[in-house]
Amino acid sequence: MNLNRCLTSMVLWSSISASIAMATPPYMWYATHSVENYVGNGCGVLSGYHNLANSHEEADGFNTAIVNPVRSNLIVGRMFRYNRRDADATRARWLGDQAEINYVDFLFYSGHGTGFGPTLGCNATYTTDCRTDFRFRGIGYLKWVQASACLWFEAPQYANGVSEFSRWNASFAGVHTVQGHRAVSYEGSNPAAMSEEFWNRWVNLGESIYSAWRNAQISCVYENGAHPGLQPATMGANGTFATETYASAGDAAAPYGATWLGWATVGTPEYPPLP
Amino acid sequence: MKSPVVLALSAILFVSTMAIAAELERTENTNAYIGRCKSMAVERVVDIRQKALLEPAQTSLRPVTFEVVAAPFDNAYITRLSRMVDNVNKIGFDAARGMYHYENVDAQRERLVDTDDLALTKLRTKADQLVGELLGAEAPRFVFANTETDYVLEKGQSVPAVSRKTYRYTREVNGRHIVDNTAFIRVSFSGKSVLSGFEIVNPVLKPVGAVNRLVKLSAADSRLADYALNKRTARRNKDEGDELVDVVRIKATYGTDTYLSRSIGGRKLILPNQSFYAEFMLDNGESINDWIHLCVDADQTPNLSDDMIENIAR
Repeated sequence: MNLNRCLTSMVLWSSISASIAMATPPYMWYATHSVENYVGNGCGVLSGYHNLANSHEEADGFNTAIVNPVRSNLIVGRMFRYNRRDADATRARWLGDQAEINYVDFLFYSGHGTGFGPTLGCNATYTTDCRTDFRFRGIGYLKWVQASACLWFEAPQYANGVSEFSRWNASFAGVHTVQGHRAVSYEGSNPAAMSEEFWNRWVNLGESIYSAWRNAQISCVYENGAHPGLQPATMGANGTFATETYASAGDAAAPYGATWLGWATVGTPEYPPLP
Repeated sequence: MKSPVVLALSAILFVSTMAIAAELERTENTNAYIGRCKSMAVERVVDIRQKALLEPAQTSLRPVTFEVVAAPFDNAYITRLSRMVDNVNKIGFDAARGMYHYENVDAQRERLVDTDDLALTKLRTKADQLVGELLGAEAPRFVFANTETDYVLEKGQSVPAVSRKTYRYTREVNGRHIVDNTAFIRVSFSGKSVLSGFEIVNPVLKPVGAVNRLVKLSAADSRLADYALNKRTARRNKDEGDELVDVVRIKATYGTDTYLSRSIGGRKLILPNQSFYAEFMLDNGESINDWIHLCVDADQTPNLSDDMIENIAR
C-alpha cells in the first residue's frame, strides 16, 4: 500500500508539474485524532483533564473542509485514512518511525495539550511525550501536523525550563510544520468553521501555512468567541517550510530538526500557573 | 449501598456545586452609560442620519436591524487597491465572505525593523492613514479595535523578534459598534514598515427595519443586575474542558451600544445590543474578561417581563 502510493505519487507528480509552474502536494491523505472522553481514557477527577465537548466536531469539520469543493478546492488525490476517536487515539498510533500517523500527509488533532504534546489520556496507553515518542516522518508521508490544543509551544518557564526547540526537535523527522498554540486555546463556537477558514486561506487565498492557521484561529476562535486572547503558533523545519504556500508546498520531506517558531499574539492570552 | 464516607463526600460535592449568584460591581464608566440609557427617550436612541445608511424617509426612531450581504466583486476597486501594494499578484477576492485580500508572503518573512515605542506609534498612524486610503469614503465608518503582534524565534536565539504588526478596525453603524467580525479591515506591516497584507470585509448592510418590539433602554440597569443574579458559573478554557467555575463577582467595566450578528431564518442579521465589558472574578481566584451582551430586540430575547418592553412600533 505504501509503496503503491509512492509510485503513483511519482507518476501523478510528473504530470502535475508538467502542467503547472509551481508545486502543489500531489496527495492529501489525512487523519484526525480527537479526544472528548478523558474519563474513559483514564483521567480521574484530580487529573485536571476534563471531558471536552467539541473535539469530534472539530475533527469532522477538518474532514468536511477538505472535501468541500468550494472552500478547499483540492484537486489532488485526497483520502480520509484514519478517524481515531477517544479510546482509539492511542500513544501507539503516534509512537516512533512506523507510527500509523506517519502514513498520511496531514494529521489533525483536537483535545487537551501540554508543552510536551497531545494529552490523549492519562494512563500508559495514552500518555505521550514529544521529546521521546514522536518521529513525524516527512519521508513517510507526514508533512503537516495541526493541533487544536493548548500549550504545545508554551515558553520554557511553563515547561520545566525546557526550551521549545529542545522539546520538539526530535519530532521533526521530515515533517514541514507542526501547528498549535503557545498559550491556552479554546473551542470555537462553530467547530467546523475554523478548518474551512484554514483551508480556504491556504489553498484559495495564497496565504502561507503559518498565516492561514493564525488567521483562521484568530477569526473563528478569538473574534467570534469573546475569549481573552490567543497565541496560534507554527513550528517549522525552517522558515521557508513554516511559511510555505499551498502552491509552493511539495511532497518532499523537510530537513530533520526544527529551527523556526512563529506565533501571533492577540488580546490577553492565558497561561497555566507557573510550576 | 454507599458507605458513609461516600455519602459524606457526595454531600460535600453537592454543596460545593451549588453556586451562588455573582456579586455585581459597576465602575463609574458603567454607571455613566446606564445613566445615559435611563435618560434617553426612545426618540433619541439613534441618530440614524449621522453616518447615514438609510434615507431619512426610511429611518425610524428605533434601532434598526440590518441584513448582512457579502460585498460583490468590484473590478474598479481592486484596481485601486492594486496601486497601493508591492505585489499585485497577491491581491485576491473571497466571494463567500466578500473579502478583498492581500498577503505578500515574501514581505512577511522579513522581521519588522523598527519596534521601539516611537516607531510603533508612527506605525499606528500609518495604519490609520492607510485605512483611509484603502476604504476611501467608507473609512470614517471604521474605528480601531485591536492590535495583533507576530513573533519569530529561531533556534539558538533566546529572545523572539517581532515579525509583523497588524491593526484591526471594525465598523460602526448608526453609532453602534459591530463587535464581532462581521465587518472589519486589517492591515499588516513587516520589514521596513511596508504593507505586507490586508483584509477588507465591508458587507452591504440592507436595512430590514426598525426593531418592532424594543426592550426599554432604561432597563439596562435591571437587566445587568438580573444577569449577575443568574450568572452562577463560567466556562473556562479548553485546557480545563467542560469545567464550570463559580463566578464570585462581576465587575462591569464600561457599557456601549453595539451590533452583533446572528443567523436567523437563513439570513445573517446584525441586531442592536447594549454591551458591557466585564471582568469575571472566579471562585478559584482567577479572573476572565468577557462581554455581556443584552439584545434590545425583544423578539430575539427570551424571558423579558412586559414592563421591560416598549410599545410596538407603528
